[in-house]
Amino acid sequence: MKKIILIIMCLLLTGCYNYKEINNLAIVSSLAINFKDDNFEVIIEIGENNKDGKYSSYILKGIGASIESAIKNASTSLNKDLHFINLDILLISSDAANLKLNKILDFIARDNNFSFDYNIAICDKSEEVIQTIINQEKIFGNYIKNVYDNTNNNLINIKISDLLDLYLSNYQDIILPIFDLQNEAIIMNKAAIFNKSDIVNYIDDEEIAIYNILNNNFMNYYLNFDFDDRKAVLKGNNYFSNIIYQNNIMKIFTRLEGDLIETENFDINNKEHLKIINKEFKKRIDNLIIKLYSNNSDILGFRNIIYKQKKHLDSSLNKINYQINTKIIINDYSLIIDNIGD
Amino acid sequence: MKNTKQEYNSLLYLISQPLFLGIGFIKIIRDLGNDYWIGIILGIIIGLFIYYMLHLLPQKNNKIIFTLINVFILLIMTTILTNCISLLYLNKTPINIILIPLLLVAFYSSKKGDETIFKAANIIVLINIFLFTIAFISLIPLISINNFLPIIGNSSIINILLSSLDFALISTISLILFPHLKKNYNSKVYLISSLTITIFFLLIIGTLGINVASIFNYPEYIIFKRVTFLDFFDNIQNIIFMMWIFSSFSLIGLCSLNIRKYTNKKILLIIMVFIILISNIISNYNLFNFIYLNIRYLLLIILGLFILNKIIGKFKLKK
Repeated sequence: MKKIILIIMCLLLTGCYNYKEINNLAIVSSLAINFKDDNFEVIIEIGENNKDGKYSSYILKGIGASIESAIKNASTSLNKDLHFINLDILLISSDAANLKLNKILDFIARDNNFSFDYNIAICDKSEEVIQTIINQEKIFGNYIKNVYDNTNNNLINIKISDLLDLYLSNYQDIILPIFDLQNEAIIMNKAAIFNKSDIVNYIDDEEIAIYNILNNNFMNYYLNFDFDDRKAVLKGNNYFSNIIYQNNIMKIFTRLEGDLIETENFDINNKEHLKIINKEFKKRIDNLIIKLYSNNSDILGFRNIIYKQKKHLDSSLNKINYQINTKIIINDYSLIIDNIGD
Repeated sequence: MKNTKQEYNSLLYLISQPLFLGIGFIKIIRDLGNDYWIGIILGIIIGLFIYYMLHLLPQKNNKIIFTLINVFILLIMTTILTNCISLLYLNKTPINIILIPLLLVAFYSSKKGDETIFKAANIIVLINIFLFTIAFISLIPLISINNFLPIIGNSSIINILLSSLDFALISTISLILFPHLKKNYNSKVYLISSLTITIFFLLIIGTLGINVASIFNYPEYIIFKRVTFLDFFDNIQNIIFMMWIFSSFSLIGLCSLNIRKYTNKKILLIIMVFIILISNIISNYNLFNFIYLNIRYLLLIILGLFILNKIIGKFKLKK
């Protein structure tokens, strides 16, 4: 009896039933989902490790009435199982984001074959963008992962868990970075802002910097100030932002420390000049908030802050009063004392 | 060889957790939202009270009723564990290929007696502590304080009380299977086990938030998808999640051992075949859904049966 049980256990408990050789798995590094003519189009980038030790990847493309059927159509010719557990980036076209975001999120959250730690971005030229990096003999997914993990560039960093959180929240709107192609180079200096599940407007590089500063996302910020004939570029290197709701006013406090790395007709030691920079910084925060209010897009989560404090929300976004306090501290770590040429 | 106090405590620690897998966590989070922590605190207090009352009951069990209780818990646990393994690990494997080896191992371990189950529990606790520590250290930086706000939600008092009852029943019901409950009563171990569950709740809410945690069947697994070990090993969720499978298996082993002790190996085998038949006829998925929706009533029935078993046992003893 013992021997029979042991033999049965050896046959059944070795975990061979679901076993897949790694050579039979297609490791998906990036996935793009577009929505065209009532059909989903998927572009799947599969990473491979060549015999000479170099990394390479190739693209599969498929169209279908559902995401699953599009993926199936893309992988029909492939004699491997698609494995999304190492997915690094999911690209969604603007149309897909506007019309089918709920379906896309439902699909990827439902499937255990997906990882839970990849970035999401909007891209309308996904095939070209992925191909550009592949042409440089790099894997697009890995490349983007390195951009996010190993650089402090001023980017919008939204992972699937953040997006789900924002999408499911009734009190905060979504923001997603936009990847675009210009002169065969990928640019990521724009972001789409949403009202519920619709893209309502876009923000540029400097607005992204303000957004990141207000959200305490540590990155490198270069703020250009240009007033009268004076010019200055501030590189932010330390900051603290706090947004609290007090006496029916949203109070925004931001303290930004930085270096003036480029100046023109500008005196670092002149307090009046610094005041002008501070005023300009405050104005930029104000401009961003006005833009968000006019588009009814609550990416800063003002309504969420009120809800978390009062447990109910009785006003729309543009009826929330706000007050901005900023403080800029200039650290001069440069090698020269005065401006050259002034 | 006599089992040591440490081995008893290890098993006690392990068996109060498995019913949370796929049921306890998600039920309390969905039912209470931001008030989950009130439910947990009240649940621990009620749980301690139930545990205290259980240990006051007489030692003697009624053979039939106690076997029936073990069969119920064995059926519930095998359904939960099979569903979990099928969904998270072996989604292309037929349920029977998961269920049959699981029951065979339980049958084999029951044949080896008390000592094997207790010694295995002692080792499993060490493995679980190691895995839990990795998960805890990795997840702490991902916690957002904002996810805990608002601290108090809008749940009704009745909802809070019912959920705290759920917590108490889920964490204590398996303790009724423990051999020599009176002699091995240890409220500190129950408290430590409940604290572990509370930390899991905090990790789930802190990393995912209430909204995201509520959409998943196994948020306790989803959080592990974000764990990286030494910033080098990714995707180790399946290894870390083994802690839940180990503790579930300890409970399945204990049920099998009790059935065998109070009956014989042939009846245990028949019961196991019966479990396989049920999960084939009703389907494991439907059975799991039924358990999920009715867990409170099922556990109350089991608790009622246990009290009845003690009353009949005492009555027979007097006679």
